[in-house]
Amino acid sequence: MQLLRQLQASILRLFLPFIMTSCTYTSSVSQTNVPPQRGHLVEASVKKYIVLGFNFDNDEVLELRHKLSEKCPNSAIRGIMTQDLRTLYFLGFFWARETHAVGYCTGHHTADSGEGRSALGDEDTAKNDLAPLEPEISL
Amino acid sequence: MTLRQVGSGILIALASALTQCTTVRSVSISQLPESAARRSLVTATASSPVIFLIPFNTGYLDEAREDFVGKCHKGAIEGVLSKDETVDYFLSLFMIQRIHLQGYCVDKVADTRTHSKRKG
Repeated sequence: MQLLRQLQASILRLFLPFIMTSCTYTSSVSQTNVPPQRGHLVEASVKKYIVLGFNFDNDEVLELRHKLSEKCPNSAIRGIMTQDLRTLYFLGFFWARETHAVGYCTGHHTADSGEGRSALGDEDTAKNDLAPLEPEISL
Repeated sequence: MTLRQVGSGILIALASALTQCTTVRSVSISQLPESAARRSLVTATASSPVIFLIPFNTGYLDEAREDFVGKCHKGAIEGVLSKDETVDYFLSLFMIQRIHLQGYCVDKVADTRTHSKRKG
């Protein structure tokens, strides 16, 4: 009986690190045109936890663009890499979906000279931020 | 079971292990530059091995991006194709996550000159 308990404890100790460890996998990646001005890197991410695969919407992804544009309010963001990641916890019963975007705030170092700004004015850029999210070309 | 049968079994297992299946998970292409600017092609690839479902290099996407951007110091990179794929070996017990980035390094000064010539 004692041997059985010891065996159970050993198995638990052996597998506990594997159960508690999280593993991250990539679901999709996209990269837009990279600008010559690459001084200031900005990033934003949205995350959602899903239990037992029950997920009823993906609306958190729509917040990503707003979060990213807040990091660079007066300039354009170019060279954006978007990563859709999935992290599994506890043998995959519980997981997190994370969408991460990183890009270059082009006007950060050249705001005084006006270089690196968007072709659109600030007002137009702000309007453009509210437009529906559309990828440039997606296959 | 004879020695020959065991040998055949090992050979089949090895053949299965060495076979790879490549699956594309996502592809995207950004806006292409003018044909005159499509001269200098830059590429970057990074991968992450996944053994028994455990990934060993989760920062491979950042590595690829830094490598890609580092190959075109002064110009812009346009017409970027990004391909995310997995390579499965031996019933997916061993897998490689791989990202491939490809684009044109465009000299923005030259590009501006082309535009001004057209306008003139």
